[in-house]
Amino acid sequence: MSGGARAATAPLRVALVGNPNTGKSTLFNALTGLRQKVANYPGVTVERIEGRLRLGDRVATVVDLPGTYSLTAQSPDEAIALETLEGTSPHAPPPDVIVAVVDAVHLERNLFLCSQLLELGRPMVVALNQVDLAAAAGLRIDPVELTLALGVPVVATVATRGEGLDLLRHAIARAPELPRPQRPWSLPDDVAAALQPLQRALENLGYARGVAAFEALRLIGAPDDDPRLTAHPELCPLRTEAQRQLRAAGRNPASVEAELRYAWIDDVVRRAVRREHPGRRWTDRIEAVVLHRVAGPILFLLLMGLLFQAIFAWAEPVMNVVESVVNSLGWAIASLLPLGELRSLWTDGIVAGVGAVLVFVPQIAILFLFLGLLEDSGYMARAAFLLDRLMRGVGLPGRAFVPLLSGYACAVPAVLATRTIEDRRDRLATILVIPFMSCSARLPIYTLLIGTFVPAVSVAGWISLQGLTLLGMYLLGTGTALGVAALFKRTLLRGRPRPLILELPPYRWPNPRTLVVQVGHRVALFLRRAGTVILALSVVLWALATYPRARVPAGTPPGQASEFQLEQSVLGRAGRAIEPLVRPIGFDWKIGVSILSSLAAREVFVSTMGTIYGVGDATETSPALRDKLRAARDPATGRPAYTPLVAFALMVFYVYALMCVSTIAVVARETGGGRIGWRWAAFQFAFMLALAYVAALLVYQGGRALGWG
Amino acid sequence: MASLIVALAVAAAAVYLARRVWHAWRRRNDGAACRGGCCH
Repeated sequence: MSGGARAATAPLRVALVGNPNTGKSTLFNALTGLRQKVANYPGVTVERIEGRLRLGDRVATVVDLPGTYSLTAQSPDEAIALETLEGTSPHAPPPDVIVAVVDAVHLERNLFLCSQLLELGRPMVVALNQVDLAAAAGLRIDPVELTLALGVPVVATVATRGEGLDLLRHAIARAPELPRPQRPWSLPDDVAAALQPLQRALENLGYARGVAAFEALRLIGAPDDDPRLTAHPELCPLRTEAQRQLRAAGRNPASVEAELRYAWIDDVVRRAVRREHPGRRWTDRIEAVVLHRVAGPILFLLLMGLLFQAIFAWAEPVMNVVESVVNSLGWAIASLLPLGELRSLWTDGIVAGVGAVLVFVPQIAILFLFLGLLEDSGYMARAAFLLDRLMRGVGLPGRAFVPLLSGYACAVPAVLATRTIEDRRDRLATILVIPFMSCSARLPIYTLLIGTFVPAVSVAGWISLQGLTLLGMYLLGTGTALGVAALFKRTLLRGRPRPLILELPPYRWPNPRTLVVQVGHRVALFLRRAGTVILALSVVLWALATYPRARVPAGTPPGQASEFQLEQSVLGRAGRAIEPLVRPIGFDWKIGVSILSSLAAREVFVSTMGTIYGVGDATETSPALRDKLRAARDPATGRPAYTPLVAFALMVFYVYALMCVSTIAVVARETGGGRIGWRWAAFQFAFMLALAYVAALLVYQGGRALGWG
Repeated sequence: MASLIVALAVAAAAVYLARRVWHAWRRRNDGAACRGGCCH
């Protein structure tokens, strides 16, 4: 077999590159037939994803590279894309053909990446995707004119419907035979002269001519810690000199690349795009209100208020149903069991513990239904846009918004989502404040305490005091997150903020099936925890609260006898030992023990209280934990053990305290792992615990000083 | 008999929790924190 014949049959390596939200993953699926998750979430394709594609008698391997706005190597995603495309990656050989996926709706911004890709000098095809959406928006793009401007084949596609794919396959198969692309514009003389020494040094390092030209222009505006500069420090003085010359010529080195590329892009767009104005569409009118300077934030607060109101108002009837089902089932089984320890384990341990958590399923479902509705309709991206100014005010990058928002669901995926933040200090600051965002595991604690101690009275119209208090807890956490981030960014993790590049997806009607699946997934996760960790903890805590059996003095009334037994148990003694620590913030030993056990997961606080009150309460007249908490008396004084003030101190404690081992573990890993990671995690746990303690102390002692306790 | 069942249930729960802690500790560096269903 000759060399040429082998080359013709060897698998062709194809790389898909493009901005996020261009339909790149859809195109990948359509080309390769592989199933893959498609989402608007940043960094969803950060893992290497490969598929196979048939091109007539040839086979090609297709790699779906992470979505990226440019080849600036600032975030880990971009670095992966750049290394693979330049052929400098130790993990992957360079591609034979680059397929640049371009979103026809946002052609200008997408052409920025394209203009960089052309300079790499590899065979390239442009897939002009979503031409149907562009046409609907009044944009007529001429692929032939675009082909002439770019010097590489441009194929119009609609990946969602499989249109244009045959042509694209054909273009990919032919691309290696075409002349290599090159920079389709030339540098102004002053810039070319300033960059020449740097470019020559890069060529001497082994970079191909086109790549060296691209890198020289890129490095002028790159941050000092760019991987290329740290790998070759000898480039730094050349770069500094080039920057000096550019400044002397009246140019800004930080923006010179963008200015030159956009000048070319404007010219290309003028030639290839015809705009038809279909008139102001209905979405533009919605946009005008949603993004309005005054109306926008008011609408946002109203929506959030509605969410927290719904958690109480809509969940209450369902919650009552769940409560009565759990209790009647519990009693039915209990009546089959012989009186004694086994029955106590079932009713006081399992039903009281797991049941206390199960009743919060409706709240969890409503929270995620609401978040899903806001996200699917396209509103969440607008909220990010609204809050970007606020975020930049505290010094966090715009990209930190999505991780912070995910923190409302769970801090673990939220911490993972910070991988899209380029700057290490920005990323650390974001990770350190994510746990202040009230996650869904705190919801059972808030709603138990608010439902028990805050009266269900209306404040104004449909707004109730309970909903308002819950909103207050979420705002307290969010406000503190921003405040602490600002503090870190001005002290420990100083650095400059970066702008937010954010896609505003079109408004859509949420898909009911997707919503049901999302909510079902969250509820299933919650139930799985209830059935595993919480069940096991309830059983163990029941044993700790029941043994050793104490000798109750003769003549003690039944109610006091079980309380006496509880205090003599292992759990009671341990609780008494830590009570001096929590007394100043208004908590008794039962709350202290529940806080400790909630390190396993915050909602375990509720199940532990359920178990403790199950064991300590002999009357068994009212199974609901809320009623037991209201009825609880301090054995020493005979006064109510829990007051609204204690409940508030406890809620504030949970807003701030990092009571979650999963989060601690993931923070340790994401902040560097090993000793460094564990130091960050320990620092975060300690400062949050200290803040929680001080805040609860202020609430409790301050409240008492004002006579509220 | 009832006491035996109680003892077995408590022991099983304790072993289950100990195993969870042990596994979480072992995989603390490989990013599996979310896969075991620990997160919401």
